[in-house]
Amino acid sequence: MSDNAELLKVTDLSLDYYTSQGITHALNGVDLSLKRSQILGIVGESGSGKSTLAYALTRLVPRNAVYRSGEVLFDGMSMLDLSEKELRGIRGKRISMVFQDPTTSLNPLFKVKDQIGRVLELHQGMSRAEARRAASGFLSAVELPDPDQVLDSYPFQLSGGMQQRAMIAMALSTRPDLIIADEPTSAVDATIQVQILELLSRLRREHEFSMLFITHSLDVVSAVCDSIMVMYAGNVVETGTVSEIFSSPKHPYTQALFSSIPRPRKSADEEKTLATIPGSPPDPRSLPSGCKFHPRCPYAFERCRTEDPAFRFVEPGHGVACHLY
Amino acid sequence: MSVLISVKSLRKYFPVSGLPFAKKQYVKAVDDVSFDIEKNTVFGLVGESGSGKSTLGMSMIRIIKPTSGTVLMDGVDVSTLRGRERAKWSSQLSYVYQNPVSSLDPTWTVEQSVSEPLAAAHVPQGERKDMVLQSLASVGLQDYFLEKFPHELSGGQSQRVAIARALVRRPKFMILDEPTSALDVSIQAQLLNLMMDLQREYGLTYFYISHDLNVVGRVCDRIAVMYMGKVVEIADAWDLFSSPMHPYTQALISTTRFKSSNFLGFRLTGEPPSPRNPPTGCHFNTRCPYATSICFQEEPKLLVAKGDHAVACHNLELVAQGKIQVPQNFQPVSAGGNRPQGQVD
Repeated sequence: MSDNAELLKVTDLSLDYYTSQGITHALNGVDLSLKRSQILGIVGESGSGKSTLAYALTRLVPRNAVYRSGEVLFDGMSMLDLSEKELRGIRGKRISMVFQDPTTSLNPLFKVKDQIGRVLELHQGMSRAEARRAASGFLSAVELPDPDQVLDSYPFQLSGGMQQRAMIAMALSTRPDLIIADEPTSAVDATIQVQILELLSRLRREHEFSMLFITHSLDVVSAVCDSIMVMYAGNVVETGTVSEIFSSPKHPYTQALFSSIPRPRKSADEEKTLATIPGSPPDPRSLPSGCKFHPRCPYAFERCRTEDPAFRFVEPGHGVACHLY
Repeated sequence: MSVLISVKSLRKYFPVSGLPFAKKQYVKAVDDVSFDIEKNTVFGLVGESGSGKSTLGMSMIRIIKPTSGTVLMDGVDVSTLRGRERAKWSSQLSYVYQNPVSSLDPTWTVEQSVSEPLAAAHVPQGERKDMVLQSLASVGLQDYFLEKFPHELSGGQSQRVAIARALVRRPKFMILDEPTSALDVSIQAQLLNLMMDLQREYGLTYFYISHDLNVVGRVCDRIAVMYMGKVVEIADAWDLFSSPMHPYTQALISTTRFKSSNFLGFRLTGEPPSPRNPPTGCHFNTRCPYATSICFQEEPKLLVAKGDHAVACHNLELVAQGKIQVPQNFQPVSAGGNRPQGQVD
């Protein structure tokens, strides 16, 4: 397989949640493509379906979720058709995950060595002593000082930043092809966040894994990702390289997201008021007709109310779902 | 401009439980903090988690009792007030908490929550509803929200209700403790605009606590930076962002500029030391690339460096020249940013 081959390809993925209050359309025709050793940032506000997408790829979805349509190809395998047993060989091994809150994703009752070691024993068939040595190596790779002491610690004895590093070490330990990181730096402080983002960039260069980086922050995306996918109400509204999207965002929602990020004022006279998007994201149980963003869009016209815009490429590698283009 | 709130040498020490008969240990959550807040301005307080921001906010209005120090409001020492005087003082203050969902009682309607401060102030029952409606209207919520329960509200709406509750007694001074950090950016922008409109309209004075430098830099007029219970720098907002003087402030500001070509400062390595057992001398000395021997012996005082800009650092000249003293505490930026000015000795 060549180096720039597609590792992950998602076509027209739609997923519904059946709840007592009706059917929630969490994902609507999502397309995604990720090459080897690339980092794709998935940006969206809460409820946009970005986390659902991450879990849907490995079928880690709750019982009330139903795949309406679509295909997920991971390294040529159709993830939606594999048996549970086959999936277990992929999840946690070839695809590993880093979650938002390390305090809830590490088991508080086990020492770090038992948690990382178990992964290695299970997936790599190592003995206990080998697993400890390997785990210590991965902890130094994530720049944890004194890895042996960390191995013998319980999670509560580590700070939030150290726990998140341990989670990343655990995700790395099976040498995965793909790491799915769901808001990995949202629970830590700014100075620690920068350290973790730079760590992830470095590890990606050294270990050559691909990554799906889910976040609500455009700033974070610019620090680590190669390309960006912007989601709104379960739809992909724009994709492109980081430099494309940062220099010329096309979709009105992406533009509005940029303008609503507060930036420090440069003088005493500068206005404090920010440009805002009126209203709030739609209820996923009753999405608006046509373009899902039209009720909040300043450029909306008749066609936006009736017709769902198709996703088209305005430039090579820069796609947008909007009737304006 | 006149000063509304004046904080003088405020301290809050929390005892730490240790072995019986052992020497009592304290966490100095707020340690000798002094500053003034002018009327009709927004005063920002930034710092990382555990730096003592919320403790400072709460001790200022005596939600928790400070260990020592005084807070003057309009020149009156609030700790001396008793009875009716004290009630009158507390009706001029309010506090908005970070998490809108947990700061509203889930079994109360919006009307009950918003009118509670009025009941506490013995406002006659008949007058309450109009005041509640007025307050809700000023945060952009219509009449039908009166009957709603918190679970029926979105995060942004809950925070609007919390602000309406804080506004209902027409306070002079409001402490906003991370009011938007639980919200999405688009909702955050709406709330920030709303709070700034209210501040201008009612002539309010805000004390805005946040860990988000971008937000604080946007909405505040003056900013204090806190590290391990101490204020390390105070300056006008634009001044702080254009010429930060304390190495910690420089490092904090650099975290908001991932790929900026005019990158300034340096990346911090390591984590803050344990607050139970802070380093002697300057508390930042374990992470500071400019630390020299004096920083390990003597605690720097917050002194005026120029105009309205005060900073607590022994080595301002070294910092200004970018002369790094401790290379292992210094990490050049890898992902696209430029290396900072100055040489590594």
